[in-house]
Amino acid sequence: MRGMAVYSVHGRILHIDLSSRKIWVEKYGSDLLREYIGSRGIQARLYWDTVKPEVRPFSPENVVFIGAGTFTATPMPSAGRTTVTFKSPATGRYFKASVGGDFGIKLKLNGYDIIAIRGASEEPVYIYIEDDHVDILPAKDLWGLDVRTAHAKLVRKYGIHIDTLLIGPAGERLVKYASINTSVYNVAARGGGGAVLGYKKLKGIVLSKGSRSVVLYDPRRYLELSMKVVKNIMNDEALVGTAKFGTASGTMGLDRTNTLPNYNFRKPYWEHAYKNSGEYYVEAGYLVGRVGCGQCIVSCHRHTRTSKYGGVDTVGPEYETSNALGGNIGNADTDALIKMNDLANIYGLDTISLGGVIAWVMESYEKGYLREVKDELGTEPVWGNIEAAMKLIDKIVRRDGIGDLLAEGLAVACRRVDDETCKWAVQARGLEHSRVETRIARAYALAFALNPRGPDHLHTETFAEFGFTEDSKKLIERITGHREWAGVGKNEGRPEIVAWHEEMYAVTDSVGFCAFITTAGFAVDEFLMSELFEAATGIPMNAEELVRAGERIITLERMIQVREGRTRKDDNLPWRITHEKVRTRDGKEYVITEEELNEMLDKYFELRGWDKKTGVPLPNKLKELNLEFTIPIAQKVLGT
Amino acid sequence: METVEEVAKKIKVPVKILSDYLIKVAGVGELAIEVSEGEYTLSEIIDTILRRIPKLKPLSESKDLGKQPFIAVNGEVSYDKNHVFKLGKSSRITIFSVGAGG
Amino acid sequence: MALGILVDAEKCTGCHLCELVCSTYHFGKSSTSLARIVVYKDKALATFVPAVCVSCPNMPCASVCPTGAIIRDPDTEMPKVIIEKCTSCGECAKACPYKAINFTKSAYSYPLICDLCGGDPQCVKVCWPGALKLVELTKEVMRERLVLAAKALSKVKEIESRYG
Repeated sequence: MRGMAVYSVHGRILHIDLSSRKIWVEKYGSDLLREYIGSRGIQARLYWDTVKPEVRPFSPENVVFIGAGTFTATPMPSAGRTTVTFKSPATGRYFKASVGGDFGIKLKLNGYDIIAIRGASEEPVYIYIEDDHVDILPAKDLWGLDVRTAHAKLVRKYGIHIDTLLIGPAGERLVKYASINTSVYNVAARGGGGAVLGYKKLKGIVLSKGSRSVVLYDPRRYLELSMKVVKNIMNDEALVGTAKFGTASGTMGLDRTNTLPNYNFRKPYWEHAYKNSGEYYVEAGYLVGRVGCGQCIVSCHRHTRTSKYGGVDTVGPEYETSNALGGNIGNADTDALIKMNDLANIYGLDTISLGGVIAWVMESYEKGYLREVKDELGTEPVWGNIEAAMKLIDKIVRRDGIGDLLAEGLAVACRRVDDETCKWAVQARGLEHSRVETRIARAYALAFALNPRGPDHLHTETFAEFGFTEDSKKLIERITGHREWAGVGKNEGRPEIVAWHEEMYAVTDSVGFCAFITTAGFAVDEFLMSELFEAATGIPMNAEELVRAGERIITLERMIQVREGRTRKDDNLPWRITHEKVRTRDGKEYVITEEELNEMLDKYFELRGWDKKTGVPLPNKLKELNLEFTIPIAQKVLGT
Repeated sequence: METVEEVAKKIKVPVKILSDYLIKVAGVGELAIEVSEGEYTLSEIIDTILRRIPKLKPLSESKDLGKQPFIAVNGEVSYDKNHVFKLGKSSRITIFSVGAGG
Repeated sequence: MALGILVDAEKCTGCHLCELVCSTYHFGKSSTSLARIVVYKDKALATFVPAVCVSCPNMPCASVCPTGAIIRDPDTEMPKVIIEKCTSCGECAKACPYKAINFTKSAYSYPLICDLCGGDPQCVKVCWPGALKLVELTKEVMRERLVLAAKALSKVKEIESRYG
């Protein structure tokens, strides 16, 4: 290694305090990079250092970290992802969101790896960044605008080569599932990050084209390896399909295996599922082009159009949206789905939580609750009623009438209406459940129970569990020794499967790779990734060390939440998942009992070296992972 | 009075294979099947297609859910071999394999 | 037979990988400002256009150069900037009919024009969507290339006017 110089990153964190209006740059070195690999890992450490447990999500002391991956803004395909870290107003705890688009690339081309935003402004502002020049500017003319309109205004002002990060009216009104958008349609959707920025009165950030460059340790070797990754991607069984049909090409595979949750998790398959699928969007002519996140040659994002609903030209819907606002609410109208996707984009709303909330309203109405909503909407909120769904979206973003309640999210809303309605509020720890039937997909279930975000997929998605591709079957065999354990509906080997995916995901996020490259498609494994890391940064790293760094990140995130009050009893799933049976097409019934979940958790904690009773990492494990600074907290909870 | 037997109209139904892998196996990406306008079970439709694309037979019989293709008729997918579809002028059939999702 | 890059903007998904590969290959540093290919984007309407030199027969970039700093490279037949003669005036970039010359003074003092990487262009290798292809420059292909370049240019102009 050449001295303390960093490569592939700048080693620069841009700090902005919206209260004092102070702006400064913090430098970091290769030690931090070696231990925490990149954005997600480094930001977890920064969060531990800066965001104490008593800090409230809507307060000046909450810090929003937005960072580019270590391979972002380099010639590495599909490594343009950005991590957004903050304390969530929905869950009250540490939250990591992930987003594509170009923001990460532009951030590094302006000379920064991470932006850290603290404080709060009294008046709406936005931040303008052009290399060393950083300004906090009044956003009076932007406040209140939807993301598309605000973006256009900024492009007109600064030119077409800028990138914008924006919140929509949902974030401004502190909707608990308001998103942060890094383009009109690239969204750090979950956890209410948009609301945190809304509280801080930060409308957005503008990045100029940037004149800085990223210096690689061994550019020649790195380019060689990049070409290898390109070839791996082009030959990957799963990615070939994802490129053509988008992420919603997952819909039918889930439908056929009874893992597609419809009608608020009451029916794990649907006769009309095809209308919510990526193949249908192509077949029926909705797809007019493909869009790629930064550096991504898979380009799975969908540019779609419909002439209905006033005419829509948008990007999406992705898989989660296709189900959340599709079969989840009984919607087989693809035109309506595309329209609602666009509304969520421009209002700045997470579609998964949005779909969960709307479905809860529909089921509540069906069961005799919320009858007054019919008068408020002028139509009955029954399954498949698009007019009701769109009106609800409108009310939520304006916090109008019932919208004010719904904007708080399911955990709050159901308690305010009637505790009974919480039985079909499919959420846990404040976050609405992602779109997969976890009573049948058991690795997903365990991952969802442990996930710091909530019962959600974009943190540790165990897609290989399905065993749809030869690669995924091989992976299950590699992890568990049993190829036959691939396939849903099984409990065997799930703790091992989850642990591997957690570690791989943590380093995938941190270097900026899309999870599709390492865990849905398999173009890069930990061996190749460690070679890439060495060529990029000059830091010696083998596969074992890389995976250990993944474990370090996972364990630190756990300790952050332990410090915030989390224990094993929070490793839970929504009530419906652990109390109600779901029936498949051929009449089989599934549920996850508390005993089954506990058994998986016991095995997982054993594997991890965490205390079984409390779910807290044990001090010797923390020492092993160079996380000694967290030991006092562990000891406090363990009572040692 | 004579009863005139109505002859069902012959129509061409386009069949499109969406997945690269299936196109390779099948040896063809698009074709049209000629049938009489009317109602058919999924089973009958599959048989008709397999007669035209025999190379797809092994995959269609695979127990492996990752390999078995999907077939959408008029924008609808059913796994029930007895499910009845109407084949008419604007009908279309799409064949594809499982995707990676997310 | 001379080789060239064929751009089909309809297929571009706006990922920027071509720019980053190009700059790293030539400079050992990664930046869109150091690339010899420029990707124009309208993010709101998902429109993306790569612009790269199509080696105009009459070389307007060379004609406007006040110091004769642009010549035609005998091997690749692409325009080549003689750095010693260049005064960084930027007229060549303005004159390029396809907006394919990257002149970002804050990053690099001299205009950047595609040189086909000396004969083995790297950008085409990474473009899976197929917007960039390596082609043999037959008379027919050269004609098709100019038609596509004109289409691409009108798309760029459309984007610029939308945000004018």
